[in-house]
Amino acid sequence: MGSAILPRVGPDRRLARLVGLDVATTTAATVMLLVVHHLVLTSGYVLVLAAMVAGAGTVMAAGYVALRRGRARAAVAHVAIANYLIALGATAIAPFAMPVLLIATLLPAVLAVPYVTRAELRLYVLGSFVAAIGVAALGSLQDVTGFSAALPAWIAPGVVVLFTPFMAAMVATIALTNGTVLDDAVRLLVDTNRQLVDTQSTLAENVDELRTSRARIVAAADQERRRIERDLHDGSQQALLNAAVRLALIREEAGEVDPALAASLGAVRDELHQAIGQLRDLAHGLYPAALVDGGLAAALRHAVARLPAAVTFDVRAAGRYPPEVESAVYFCCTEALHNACKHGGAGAKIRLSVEAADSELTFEVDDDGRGFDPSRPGTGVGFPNMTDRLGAVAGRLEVTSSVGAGTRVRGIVPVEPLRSEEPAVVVRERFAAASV
Amino acid sequence: MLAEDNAFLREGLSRLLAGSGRVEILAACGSLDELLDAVEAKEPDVVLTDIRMPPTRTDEGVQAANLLRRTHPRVGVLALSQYLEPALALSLLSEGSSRRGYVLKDRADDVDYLVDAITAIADGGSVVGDEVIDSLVLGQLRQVDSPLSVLSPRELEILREVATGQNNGAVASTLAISEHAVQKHINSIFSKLGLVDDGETHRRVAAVLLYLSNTGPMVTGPIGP
Repeated sequence: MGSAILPRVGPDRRLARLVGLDVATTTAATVMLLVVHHLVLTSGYVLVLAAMVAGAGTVMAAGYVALRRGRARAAVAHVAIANYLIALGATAIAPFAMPVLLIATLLPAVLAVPYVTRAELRLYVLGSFVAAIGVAALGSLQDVTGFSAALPAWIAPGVVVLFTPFMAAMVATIALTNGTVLDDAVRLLVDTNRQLVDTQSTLAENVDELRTSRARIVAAADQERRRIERDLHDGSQQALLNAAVRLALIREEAGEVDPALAASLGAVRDELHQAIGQLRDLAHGLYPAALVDGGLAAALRHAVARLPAAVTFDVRAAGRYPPEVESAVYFCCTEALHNACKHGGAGAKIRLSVEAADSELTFEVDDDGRGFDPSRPGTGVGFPNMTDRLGAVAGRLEVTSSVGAGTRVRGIVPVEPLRSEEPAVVVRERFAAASV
Repeated sequence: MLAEDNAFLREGLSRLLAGSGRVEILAACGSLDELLDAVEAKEPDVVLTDIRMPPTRTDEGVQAANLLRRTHPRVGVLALSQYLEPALALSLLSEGSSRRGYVLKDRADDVDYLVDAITAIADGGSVVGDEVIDSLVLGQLRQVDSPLSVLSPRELEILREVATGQNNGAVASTLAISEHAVQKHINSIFSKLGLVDDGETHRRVAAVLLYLSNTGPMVTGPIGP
């Protein structure tokens, strides 16, 4: 059946039925005309009529084939052309059938309503209008062929009485069922819309889940970094310090008996201290303890003081935030600062600022250095990292740069209104109280 | 008296310090409770303590210092920190900086430095590691509209020395200028920064440190009464 091919099962099945009925009617009419030709009236006009009806049937059958291929509009066009032609042709030969054929000219305009565009519908209405006038004009020629006169007297009223209600009923049925077709279309639309809404809410849920899982991954990574940081401090650094103290003991003893040995032990001591320093920097890079104790402002201040290039900064607005927000902003800032130092070029002016509004925490790192072309792929591996980190706390990253015009990295994180915690003031009050 | 939870380091440190001949180790402890009990029993001049110790391994050294400030005001505390934590340093000095010190553990094998620091604290002074001050000063200097930018290079130098806990005489000899000149510079620094100097070195250290570490606009006015 057509349902396998046609996506819109309801309306096209109906159209198929209508077109099928049309094809059957024309076939029946052709047979009937041939019977009339043999039994009632042997006339060339009857044969011409039969040929016309058969031609119209063929056109409609072609429309039916188009419909089976899913082309409803083409089927409507076929039906319309067949109807117009047969109405005009039959009226010319048998003007007495004009009432039936007038109705037939209206059929395409009514049939087309649910299937065509507004502009096409105008064409069909115009076509039906012109065909109707044509049928009326041909009908008024009053039997130019003499065919009517040749027929037995009962035929003309018989045809009109028999076929007018049939045609009228057909047009009326189509007009009425157009509403059903439109209803189906609306229902389909509503269903599709509901599916879309469902999909949308599923997507929203997925986005939420993704954000949560990203936050979880970042939190787990942070936790791991803190653990490694602590291990480095409590394990490796402690062990190196032990060694340094034992070395100092040996050096004390050696110094008395062998000054040369004491001197070379001093060199070993220097190397050991270098290693301790490197280890501390490494641990600090993993997760700065200052972030936990002193918050964003203290940690950023500390980070800026350690940078190789001069950076001016203003982080006074930063208060205390949830640890995941503080670490996200901290790592993004240090990443951006290191990028600026590394890629900005010598002498670039670098600025860091942190702004806090009621519901947003914003940081900005900008420099007037070399800049880069953001459209070039593969520039700055740090940016995806920063985007991930900020994304995990529902924040976003904006990078503006162009070659020769510096770089600006801006991050915005939604936050709860500031916790009213100002460590410096607390310390100050305690100090003031103690010194009274 | 020594408090350090790592047994090897505790052992090494006490041997190193005892070997200097300038200090006597009364007790070596491994936790906050042990430390407090030992202080109660032996009344040392100075406690050299790790900042992180059992039970929580967070800030036991600072807790001990602040507790002893009330129970044993004459006991000095020199805290050793694994890494730079300005917040802990401040917390240590927040109730006054006399007989208090904060240095990095990297100094643990520098016996002369440690013994000097212990002696200074026993004498009522305060000691803050250079690294701590350098980091704070640099952090403050790079700040937009930094108040430190109004200081002359010489004044900045003196501020650094003052912050490490040196008294005027020591600052003068370090920088090879007269004590009078040092006091003049300090007056100028304090008036530029809006701080009040009551002449007490130990309070001055806390005021300067607090000033340097402050991130907010709150502490630009005078500190203390």
